[in-house]
Amino acid sequence: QEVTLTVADQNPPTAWGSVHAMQPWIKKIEEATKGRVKIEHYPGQTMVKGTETWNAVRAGVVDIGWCFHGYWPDVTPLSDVITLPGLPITSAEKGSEVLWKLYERFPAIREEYAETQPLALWMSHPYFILTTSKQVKTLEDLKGLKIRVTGGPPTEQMKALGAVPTLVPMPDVYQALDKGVVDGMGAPWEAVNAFRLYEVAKYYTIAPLSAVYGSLCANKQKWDSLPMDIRNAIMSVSGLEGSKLWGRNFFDAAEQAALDGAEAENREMIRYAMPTEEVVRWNKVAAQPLWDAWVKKMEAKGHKEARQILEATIEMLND
Amino acid sequence: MSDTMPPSQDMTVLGRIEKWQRRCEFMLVYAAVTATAIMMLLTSADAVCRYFLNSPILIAYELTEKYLMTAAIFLGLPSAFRGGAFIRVTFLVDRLSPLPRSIADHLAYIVAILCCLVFAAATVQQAYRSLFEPTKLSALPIPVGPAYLLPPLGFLILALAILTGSPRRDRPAAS
Amino acid sequence: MVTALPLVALVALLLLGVPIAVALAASGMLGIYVVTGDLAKMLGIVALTPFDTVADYGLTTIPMFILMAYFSASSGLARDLYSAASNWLSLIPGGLAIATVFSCGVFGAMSGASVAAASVMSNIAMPEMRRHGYSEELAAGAIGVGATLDILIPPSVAMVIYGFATQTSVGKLLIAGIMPGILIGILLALTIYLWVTISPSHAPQTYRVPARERWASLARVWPSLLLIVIVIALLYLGIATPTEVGVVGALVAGVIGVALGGLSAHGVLEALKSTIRTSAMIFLILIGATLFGHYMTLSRIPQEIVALVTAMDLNRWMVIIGILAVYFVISMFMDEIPLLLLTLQLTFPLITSLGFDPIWFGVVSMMMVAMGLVFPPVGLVAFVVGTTAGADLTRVYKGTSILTIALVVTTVLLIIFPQIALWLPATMR
Ligand code: NA
Ligand code: NA
Repeated sequence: QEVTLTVADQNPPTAWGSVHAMQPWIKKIEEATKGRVKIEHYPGQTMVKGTETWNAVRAGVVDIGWCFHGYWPDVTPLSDVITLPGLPITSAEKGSEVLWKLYERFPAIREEYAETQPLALWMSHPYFILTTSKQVKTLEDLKGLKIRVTGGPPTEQMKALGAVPTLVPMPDVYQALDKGVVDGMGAPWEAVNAFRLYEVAKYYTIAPLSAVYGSLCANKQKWDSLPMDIRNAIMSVSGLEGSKLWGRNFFDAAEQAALDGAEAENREMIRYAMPTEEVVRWNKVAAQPLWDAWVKKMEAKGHKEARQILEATIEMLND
Repeated sequence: MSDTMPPSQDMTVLGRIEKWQRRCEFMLVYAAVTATAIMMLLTSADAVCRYFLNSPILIAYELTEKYLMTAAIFLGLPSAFRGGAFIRVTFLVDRLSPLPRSIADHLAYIVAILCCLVFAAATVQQAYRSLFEPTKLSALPIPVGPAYLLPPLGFLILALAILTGSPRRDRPAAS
Repeated sequence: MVTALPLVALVALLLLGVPIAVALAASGMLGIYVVTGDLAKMLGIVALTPFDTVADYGLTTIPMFILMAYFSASSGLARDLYSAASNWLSLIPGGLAIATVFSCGVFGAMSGASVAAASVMSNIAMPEMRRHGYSEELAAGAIGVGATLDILIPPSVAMVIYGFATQTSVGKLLIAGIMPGILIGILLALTIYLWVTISPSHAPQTYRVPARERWASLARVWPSLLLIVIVIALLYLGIATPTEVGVVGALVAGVIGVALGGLSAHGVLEALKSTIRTSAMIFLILIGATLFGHYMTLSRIPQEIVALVTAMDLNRWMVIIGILAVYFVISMFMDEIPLLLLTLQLTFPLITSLGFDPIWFGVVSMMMVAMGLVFPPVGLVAFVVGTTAGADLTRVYKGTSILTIALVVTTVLLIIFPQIALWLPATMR
């Protein structure tokens, strides 16, 4: 018989990620299950707000949720390893692959998702810095600039780098940049494209900032109630493959879209990739110390394998 | 003002309950007023410190969203009811003869009370779950869980307020 | 068919006089249960929705825009505005009513809620107009329809709600309301002038105020202008974000009130209490509407209606005129926020699928909301004017119905020339 699964998604239906990641993924599931699974997609927070998606999945309000884990510090603290700044992440696709492999390899990480069934884990490429009035080339350039970031590790990193971390809600970011409430922000291409930030920010510096991650999690009971062949069919296009698809299509591919959008409007985007010596300088003040702090915090919580997880992460990313 | 305590002559059990209930609502209003005032001051201070001192108050954003807004609104629910701010469409009911009209009025109250109780029962479960969550605000290690107690508290006192008192029908809205 | 049952339940509950928020929530709960057939799922949604709806930083503007209005009113800024306007316009037939409209417009820039404007102006302008022999119809009508300017001139709670319900840029919406707001003000003044010319008995007296007094009263308007200038400056100098400007604006209104307008500690407390009452009610309606929205989403009724209308291949202008006609009928019975929240779930997808501009439709929706607020039988602003000014509701409605002509004309102009709304937001890119 036919099974209907509901998917709650905070991204608007016309957004880059909905069109290039969510819809293809849904299509793959429906194809892999030969039409036995029908996905009802509720984009744009119509079923549940982004901040409550994790709760909604666990409570069974929705069957599958697009979860952004940056909303919930300390809920999946070991997975947070992937958000440490200065990790050698070359692309979102690679990062998502490593994240899924970490999940498979470490029981302690699997334990963090015990109340749900993760179908895919995604992560962004490392955020870069965009600024409105001057290009950031060195640590000294960054000093004292008000940079919009989210709470947690990105805030800690900005403090360590000497910038002034500032929390501004996403809908206000465009005007905050335009009017100079903030001098810049840490961002992925997906946001530059979705919020047309190229209209207000000219300078883009590829710097070793932290990345964000999230998941597509299914309600555990609902998942367990599905026949085994359906579960296998869904996982055949999810899991490692699905995670890579999400990383690639949601984040990596958005770069070209942002560049095209800027070009169509004749906006100048000046891109600057920091030389290795400067990257090393940044990581010295704001990566290694935060890595050690993270390991220490996890060990204090009783996760003895924290160091091992960090080392495995770096090793797999360098692979 | 309708949300100050009237002198209570009735000192029966019900009278006492009502007295305590009024006292409770009175405290909630002041908690809500305090939350609103803090929201105003904290967010303004954040903007001023960010602009003039280049050092924003990082906690302002999350504290406002998770605690101050929710306290201002949920704890303000009973006073919204007492102040007659429950907007109703009465043009049909007003044309009914006394008996059907009284039935309609009672029905409205029963539906309202039941609805508040469903809200209270559902949100108290969410509050219970959230209390055991490790989620904290990202800028300061304050747990988010206790904020989830505000909705059930507001809805419960609101249900009690509707149960024990009828809003004045002649006042259509807060003014 | 069963899927549509909760819609019927909603109408029945509303007609039986169940509070609007409760009717929305109850039929929403019923709807979710009917569509999913799963009680646990329904309770799960009910458990998450209240916190989810209220814990939203972007919506802090709702209590703060309202607080700003109460601070400005209690500190006498509105009174000074009105006396300046009436001193200058008292020579014209109907001048006091025109002055009411203009002070409503300026007060609208310090207030986000038309209900606040209505009660403030009823207290200030009504006694003056009565003293000079103005008819109840004209006086109450000018206050009522004038107060609806508040939802077009930023700040505006209704615009924030529209942005919330449709994910449209609130910043652009607020700017888009300015020109239509000014247009309504002018047309309203013209309508009053015409009315008084046709039947002079409604405004029998004109009088001259000595020039010195006129200039002196004009000088007393500066705290209001200061407040407006500060709020705009906060935004343009990059001191506050669009969301924060509501909060900082409320604080500035309070500070100006205390420093210049004799706003007392007691006045501050009362303003805060009134703000809590009004905001809690608005949010209860928001929560109810969100629940009802979940039902609508799950039922897929909006998509089906959109598909149906699209399949009928109607002219897009026919559709919009049809929508406006339906809005007008619903707005007779329902006010501001519930009207928006209920109808947008259906109309917004339809409108955008036909290629209409979301910002433009936001302004047009505000026009319908404005009419709803003053048009019988259920008009919240008309109620407030009636009770606050102690005027007979029938006469209030007579006045507001006549002056609604200005709103209708503005709506027609907006449909013919969408640029009236879209020109200003376009300049901000
Ligand atoms: Na306004
Ligand atoms: Na009406």
